[in-house]
Amino acid sequence: MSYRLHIFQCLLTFIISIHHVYCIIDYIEAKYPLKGKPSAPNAPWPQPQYLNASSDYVYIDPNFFVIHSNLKDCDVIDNALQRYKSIFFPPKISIQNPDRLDESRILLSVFILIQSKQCHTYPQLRDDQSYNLTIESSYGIIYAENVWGALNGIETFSQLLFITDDNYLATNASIYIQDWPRFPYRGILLDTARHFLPVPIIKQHLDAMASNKFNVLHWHITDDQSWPFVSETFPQLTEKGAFSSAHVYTPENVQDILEHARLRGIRTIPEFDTPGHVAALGRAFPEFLTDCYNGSMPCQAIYGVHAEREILDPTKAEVYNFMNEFLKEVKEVFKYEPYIHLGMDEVYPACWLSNPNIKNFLNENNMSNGTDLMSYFASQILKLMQSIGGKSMVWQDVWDDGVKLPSDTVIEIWKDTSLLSDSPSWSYYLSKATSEGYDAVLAAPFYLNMIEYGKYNTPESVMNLEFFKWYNIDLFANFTGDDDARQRLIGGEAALWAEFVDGTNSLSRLWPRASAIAERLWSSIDVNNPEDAQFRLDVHRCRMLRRGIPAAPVLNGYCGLYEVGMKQSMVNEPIFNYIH
Amino acid sequence: MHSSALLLVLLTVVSHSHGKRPRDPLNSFYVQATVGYPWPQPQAIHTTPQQYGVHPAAFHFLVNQTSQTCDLLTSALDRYYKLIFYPYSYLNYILDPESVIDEIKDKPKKTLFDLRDTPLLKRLNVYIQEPCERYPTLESDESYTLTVTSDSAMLEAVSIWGAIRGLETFSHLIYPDDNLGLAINQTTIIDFPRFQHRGLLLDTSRHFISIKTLKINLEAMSSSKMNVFHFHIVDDQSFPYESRSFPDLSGAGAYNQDHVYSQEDIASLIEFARQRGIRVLVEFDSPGHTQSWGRVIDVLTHCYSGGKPNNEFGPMDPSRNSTFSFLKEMFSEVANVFPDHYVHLGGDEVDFDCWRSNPDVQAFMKQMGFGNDYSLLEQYYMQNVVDIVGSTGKGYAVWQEIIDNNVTVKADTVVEVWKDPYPDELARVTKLGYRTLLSTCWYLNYISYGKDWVNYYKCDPHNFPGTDAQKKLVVGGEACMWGEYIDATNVITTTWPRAATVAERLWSAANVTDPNAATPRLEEHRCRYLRRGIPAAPVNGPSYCDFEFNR
Repeated sequence: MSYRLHIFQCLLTFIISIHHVYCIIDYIEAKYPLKGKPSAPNAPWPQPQYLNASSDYVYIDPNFFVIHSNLKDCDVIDNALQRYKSIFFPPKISIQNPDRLDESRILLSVFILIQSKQCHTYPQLRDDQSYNLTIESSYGIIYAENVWGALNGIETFSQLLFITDDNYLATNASIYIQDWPRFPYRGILLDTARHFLPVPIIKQHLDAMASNKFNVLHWHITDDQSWPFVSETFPQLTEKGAFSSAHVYTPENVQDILEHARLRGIRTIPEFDTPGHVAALGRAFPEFLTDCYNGSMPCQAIYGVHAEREILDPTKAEVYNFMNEFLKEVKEVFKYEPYIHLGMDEVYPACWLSNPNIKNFLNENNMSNGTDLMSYFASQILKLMQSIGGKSMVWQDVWDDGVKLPSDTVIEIWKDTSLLSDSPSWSYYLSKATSEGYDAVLAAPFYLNMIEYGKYNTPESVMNLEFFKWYNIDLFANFTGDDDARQRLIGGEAALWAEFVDGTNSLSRLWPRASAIAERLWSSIDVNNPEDAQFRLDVHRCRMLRRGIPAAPVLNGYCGLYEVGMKQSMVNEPIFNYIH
Repeated sequence: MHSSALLLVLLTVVSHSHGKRPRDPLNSFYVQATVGYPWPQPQAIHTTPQQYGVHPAAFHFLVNQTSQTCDLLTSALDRYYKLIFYPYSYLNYILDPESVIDEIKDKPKKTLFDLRDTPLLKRLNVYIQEPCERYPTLESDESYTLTVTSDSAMLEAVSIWGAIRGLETFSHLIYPDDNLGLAINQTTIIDFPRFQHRGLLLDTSRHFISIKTLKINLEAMSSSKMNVFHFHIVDDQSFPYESRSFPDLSGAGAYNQDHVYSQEDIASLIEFARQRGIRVLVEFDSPGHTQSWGRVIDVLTHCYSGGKPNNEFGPMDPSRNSTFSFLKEMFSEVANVFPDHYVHLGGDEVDFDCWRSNPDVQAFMKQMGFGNDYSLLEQYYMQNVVDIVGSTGKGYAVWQEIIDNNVTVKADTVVEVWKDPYPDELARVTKLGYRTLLSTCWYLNYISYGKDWVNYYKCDPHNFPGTDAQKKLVVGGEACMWGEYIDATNVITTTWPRAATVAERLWSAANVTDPNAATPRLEEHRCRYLRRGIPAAPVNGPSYCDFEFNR
């Protein structure tokens, strides 16, 4: 955020004066008509920081519309301009040529001006993501400091276009937008270990993320259940740890996904969780796991306490040798991304403490408990990360244990009273971590896998939208840190843990639920009226349907002929679903 | 060919796993699926480890010379052959018979030469005792026996419907096998449903669901032996049914003219269902839930405030004769279009406020001597409607309120219980002698986190205090997928395989109740759905299927 604009009154002056082809939402019951302000057909999501638009329209001639930039031969921009063609002009819908007699009613071109003139390769956390967008009758201009801001501007422009009932492509004749994100880190966690997500589905999630201005894919790639990541150094990891030889991400698959993300301005942070959540790793390297004891008997499971074997054994040198080699490989594979997420969550020491070798090790090293041992393990791994030139992201547990973390570590907060009854609230943790000088990311209230049926909101208003319990979460609620600490609360992350999702339902489960969080992370805190937002969200979910994402309905109603299973259904369009 | 009690005793339920894929015993972090085990659990099944290979070039269906046959059987055999041997292409084929087989993906994994030393299953003989009915009914016989004991298997059924259920089971017994390509184990099955009415409700008013998606859902139903599609076609929000007599109903009442079911759509859906032995039970709910009817046709009650009509509308207006003449014409069309004996008349959740506000309705109340008891007016309305529908020769199904409100209905009326506490209501309705359906515990639209199907699985329609005669009156139940947050993006993944657990409750024996025992079979069943192209969601926690869904 290179500049901040002060208190701009957000003026939505769109007027729906002509018919358009999309989206109506309807009440739950006739006696509870919807409140809130109906949305324009082209209302952008997330809501820009400042937006002013006229109520008259200009039209676009599909044969004579030009969008170009001052950067030549920049793959991020070239690829975007190519990609957005099928979003501007959706397949199966033939856009009419407008009457060109009155040139002032035609939007001829949009020019993208990238101030830095640099074609960045990969987005960084503190990169400027802002843009300005102006349309004045025949011409539009998107101004940005760098390519990432430009991508945000193109996305917003694409959302401002809409198709009229008689299939003209239109937008407001005069538009002025100044926009920047409230938080620089806006993440989605996908878990490919509990269930495998096929590559085309991950790409569609990335597309949906770009449509919602999410900019980090936290790829929780491995866990107890499976290890789908193919390592060239340690091929036995997938040979033994994957569900099957078909349930893997080859090096080509991984690069394909990383490139797909990068070109959309999305960072990919891989998570390789240790020392817990490693049963799949243990199938390849059983000797790395701790033998759990029942009395003097090794490898005995005690139900609810520990398994037969679990958690890496921090007393073994070969564990660190492996981690060193493996993390080096990861660093090379995810070559542009400085961060690796190391997990370090939910380490329960019962198994460690049952093991006589570990007990000896504790004695010899003046350690007294599992926390000491966890600190020992974590310090080794964090040192290792530094030696290979990587930065670490961790779940909060290791920090809870009091381990000294490098100052550039990002702490992800997932604990809250609502999840663990003996835990303080997430706001307590956020305040504490940022006040100690760490960057922090909030995931705790955003576990989107934990579904429930939409409930009536209040006696006065029936929105019945599960979504808006996330929409109304302010990350700074009860925050006690100072201004510097506030700057270190870098954002939030919507997590779709995959116990109950896979390729069948992950897209319709996550979208547009995550969109509510997208707006919270991007837009001004003043944009917080869910009754109005539900109408814009409906516009946005229909927009995602037009882009081939099977986003689920937010209320009764309909979108258009492009719904799933209908004549112009987009979900099976090859351009949107990446099945070769 | 009725299942004999003796055989039932002889054939014990044997749990089995063919050990196709031994898994690391260390790994207890995800669910293991059975291999080649049918869902729902048959009444009696006996299998042995003896395997037979099944190969498309060496297998055929054979209709016995003495068997009854008909178009339903011919098309079922064609369909199941494709389902067994061309699973990748199957869904496209049934949605569009012109589509081509995917020769690469559906290529047999083994050649006949590979299988030269393997015993092969060469044919399934099919024998049907009685002439085919054109449409399935509440009384249809769905029993069958299936024996796979040599290279020639036998499927016997009283009716075509039993044969279709048996073919479904046969298709479940065949599983992909590393050595044989496709295999089946030596198996004997005697099977029949515990309940006659095993329904699924979809709501196409809150959101429109395309015919294509409805057909995929029918296919999913048939894979779990469900036999009634409760088509909650219209409601307050929209009226997608394109009426012959009253085209304006959908003209004004549908969301828009892309979101309608034409007469051809309806006919093709009914035919698709018929081929699978599925009844289409259509619901035209009234007098409430009818806002969308009244956008051009003046049948709704005008609500008043401050002595004037306030432009709002309530339930159907029972004070006007014109309402009933409209309904007469409407229901005589419905009786014609939908071949099932039953029409669902709704009758639930009637709000009296608007009736109370309307002076004409007040006058009518006085004239009829109803006093201030608007439930009498509701009763009057429903009485007229049931008489209208009765006069078309149809039977009707209704939501429980009709009986709660003491409407006199025909003896063959089916009453659907949807409110809690359902045991009391089941006891009440069956005591009155009506055939009864349970849906209270099976509102699948009420999603929650985790393995929620266990709750559906545990709910039993006989779980109420009553005599044997009362229990016999419970003809089954329905899983309901109301459409407030459901459309074609998520209807299949949210319904399946959760509805399949209701299907097992309604088909299998009363003592098949252990969710832990069901889990590995359900896991296989959900992967079976994926193999057939139907995106059934994971419901048992971490797992995988050999065929994952990527669109």
